[in-house]
Amino acid sequence: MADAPRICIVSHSHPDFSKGGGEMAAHRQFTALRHAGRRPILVAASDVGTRYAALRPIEPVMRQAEDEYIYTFAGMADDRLAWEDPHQRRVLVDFLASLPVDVFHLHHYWRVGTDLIVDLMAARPDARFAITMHEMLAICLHYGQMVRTQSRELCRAESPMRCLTCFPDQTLERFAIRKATLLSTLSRFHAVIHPSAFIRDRYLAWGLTRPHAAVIENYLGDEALALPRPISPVPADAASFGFFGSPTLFKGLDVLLRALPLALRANPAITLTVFGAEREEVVKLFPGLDPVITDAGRALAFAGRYDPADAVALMGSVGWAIMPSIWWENSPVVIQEARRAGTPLIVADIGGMAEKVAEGIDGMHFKRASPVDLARAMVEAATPGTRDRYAASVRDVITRDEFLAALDDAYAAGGAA
Amino acid sequence: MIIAADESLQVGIDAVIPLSPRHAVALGWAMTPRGEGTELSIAAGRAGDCPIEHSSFHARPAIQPADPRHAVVNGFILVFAMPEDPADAMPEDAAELVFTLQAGDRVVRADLRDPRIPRDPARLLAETDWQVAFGLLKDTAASPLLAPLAAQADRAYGLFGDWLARLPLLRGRQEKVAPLAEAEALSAPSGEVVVVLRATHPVPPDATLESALIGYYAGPDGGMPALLPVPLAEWHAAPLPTIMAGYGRIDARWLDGLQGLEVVLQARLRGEEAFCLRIQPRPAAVPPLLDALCRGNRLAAMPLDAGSGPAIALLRAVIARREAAFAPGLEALAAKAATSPASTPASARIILMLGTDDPSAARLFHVVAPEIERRCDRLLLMGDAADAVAQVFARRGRIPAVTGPAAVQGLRDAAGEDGILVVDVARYAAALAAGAGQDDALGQPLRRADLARLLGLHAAAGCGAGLPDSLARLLRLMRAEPGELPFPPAPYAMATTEVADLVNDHLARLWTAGDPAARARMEAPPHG
Repeated sequence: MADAPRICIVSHSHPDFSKGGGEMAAHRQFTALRHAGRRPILVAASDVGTRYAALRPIEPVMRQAEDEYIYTFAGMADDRLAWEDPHQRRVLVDFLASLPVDVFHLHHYWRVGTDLIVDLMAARPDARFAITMHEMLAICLHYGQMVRTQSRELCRAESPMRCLTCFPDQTLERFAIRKATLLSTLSRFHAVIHPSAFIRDRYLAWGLTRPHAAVIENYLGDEALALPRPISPVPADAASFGFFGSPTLFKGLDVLLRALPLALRANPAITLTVFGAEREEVVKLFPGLDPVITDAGRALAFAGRYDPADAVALMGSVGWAIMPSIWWENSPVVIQEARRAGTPLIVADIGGMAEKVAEGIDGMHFKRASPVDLARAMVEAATPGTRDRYAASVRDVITRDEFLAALDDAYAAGGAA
Repeated sequence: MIIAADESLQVGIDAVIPLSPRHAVALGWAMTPRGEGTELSIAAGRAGDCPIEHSSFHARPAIQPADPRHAVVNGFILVFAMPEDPADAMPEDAAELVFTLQAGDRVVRADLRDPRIPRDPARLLAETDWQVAFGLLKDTAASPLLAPLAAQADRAYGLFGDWLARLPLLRGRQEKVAPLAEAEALSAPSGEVVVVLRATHPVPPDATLESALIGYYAGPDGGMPALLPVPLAEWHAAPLPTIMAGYGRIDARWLDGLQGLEVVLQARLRGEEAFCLRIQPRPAAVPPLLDALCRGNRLAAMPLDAGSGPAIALLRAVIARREAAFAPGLEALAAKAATSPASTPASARIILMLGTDDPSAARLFHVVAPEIERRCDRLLLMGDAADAVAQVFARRGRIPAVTGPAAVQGLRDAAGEDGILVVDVARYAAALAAGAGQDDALGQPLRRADLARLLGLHAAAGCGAGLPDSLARLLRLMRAEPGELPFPPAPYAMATTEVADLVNDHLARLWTAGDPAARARMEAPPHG
């Protein structure tokens, strides 16, 4: 490993504080590199530290564990894409530039800042820079979702006038400046790593054509990869379905809950377990679905929040994992966890979901946002033999060696920025 | 000092003021028989006649003949030259200096060295009929021989200081200025002024409005500004139903270094009722300047004049005068720009960022700062967020970045140089967002001829308060992109749509002067 580049991973958060897909991927990369005998450094943004900084003095950069550091981003602008406090930015740039690494691998530009990125590049012209794109914040002001604000209609391409219909208070000038800033910054990376071909194509269409673009799936982590596959020696009930994740407006849990009674009408044996939320949280988000939940009776259960470390095992407890997101998704960890568990999936037929679940191999697709079509898929999935057939063909996830080799290739492949 | 031959032939000498070693001005009045020819002359005894090199006459209402049917009174201002004998160079040194007024065979003579003639002309101007002071101020602006009067007494306004101090100084627009409902004055960078006196009563057709302008010029090294009467290239005043309006333009040779104007007015709106006003015009772009001619007021009891036939006629007349004055120069500037060789981006060592209005531009420039710094030695920033962007460059410390008036001055200074890269920030960002490289996004530099054209257009046809608006319009004119009007109408709500059409058509003609392609696009018939 003497010749392997030493890597600093800069992440927008740390799993000690939040467990979103991006920060989990960053931390799993850190752990994988460490377990592979390399000595990576993780520098992650800390919202806990940032909140604390609003009340009391705190060092901008602090040690979290061996080779792990956290920084506060209180000095950033509200959108967390640039710094308002140049002194805090400079402290962080100086710290990062001093690290004995060859590669800076950023997970996200949010909570990092375009200004910090270019300053760090100027401070370390000898280093190589890579970034993993976890969503499309540069392209879309609507949380990077590419879903219209006035409805839940999907958006397929950015254009200033179209964006103005979603954000009528913005100006065309501001859209142009925002895009120019982000595009100019991202174009300077040696390599851009996309966890899916879908997001790569979106960034290409947006104009990010200069850096080397590699599609490398997020690594699920050494712990999940150490589990036997299939995870459960006893096949799960084909009629049991699971939803995994936080029930945000874009995750499509409402679509699934509307599909459930339709599916139950055709097959009363069907059950659905919602992992990640209690009933109260769901009703608060979708008040109109309270009667539907009540009517579902024992066919519907809420399992509450779960530890991501348990996710793969939980996936094995259901016959099918359903991902009904109404937004594109990029490379959902839920899909990776299900595939690792050997649990087939039913997913919406768009974006990263459609790409990561090969229809007929890893699972089934249904028409995005259509409860009727989702019910059709659930009924079909619950028929005898179907689940076993899919469970036999569902593909495993990328291994650590494959993942690290692909990263090293990407670091080396990118030309001069 | 008064010398009388009889009840109809008299002369009054108010003052004799030395102007230079060889010139002096005599102020006074002459009462002469009505309908009879008269002659004025000044002689220095055996040294010879003193040629009168400038003369003007004005009313002196305070001096009344015994029988107005038989005599008339006129004030006079006479600038005369002393004979060339050095011994007689100054009036007080002259052995003899006689003023002669002759009517037929009657003669009256006055010794201009007489000790009874007042020796404090500033006080005289302040205390005598204000028509004397106003006339002298007008003459001082018109005749270089009288220029020393404005610099005398070692104080602002020279000899006129005491008199002007007695007139309240109005600023911009003021309501209830007796006997007016409202007085308003505006000035444009071209040295034009519009004065509108809105009355509370009908203004008769024979009403008059005269003006004298005083220019403010920066003093050397930030010292006291120089306040100089400036000559008018033209003055046109017209009575409207309840308004007396005037339009004036100073001689273009007095524009250099001009920082502000003050207008002294003499108005006679009804019968013999006359008054003097002093008003500092508010700086304005051309659209509000012209629009003011057609604006009524809130306080006037009479119906408003806005958009009335006479007001529109006045506007048309002023527009015709403006086009006669400005179009030839703008055509020449456009022709010169059209034949000037193109410059290359590398030749521009100054970059002007125009429209730096959005604070988020600071983020963009933080990212692209090295690219900008490689391409210029100096950065001029204009716009609401210019300071935030300048701060980005100030922290880096590679090139100076200036904003506000310093940036405008930087642009004016650059007009004598070749190659300034003018970049519209919104278009620059849009180009980068579309994937353009820096050179393509920054565009071509403006040449010296373009900058001269810009300053000319801004002065004569500027539609916005500052130079940036004119610069954006010139860049649009030069782009000549399909779908973009060469001259978009001024974003200013005018008195009526007819006024707006007249003003915008006029401005479009000035902006496209000497540019036949742009003119053709402007004048193309509308579709449909």
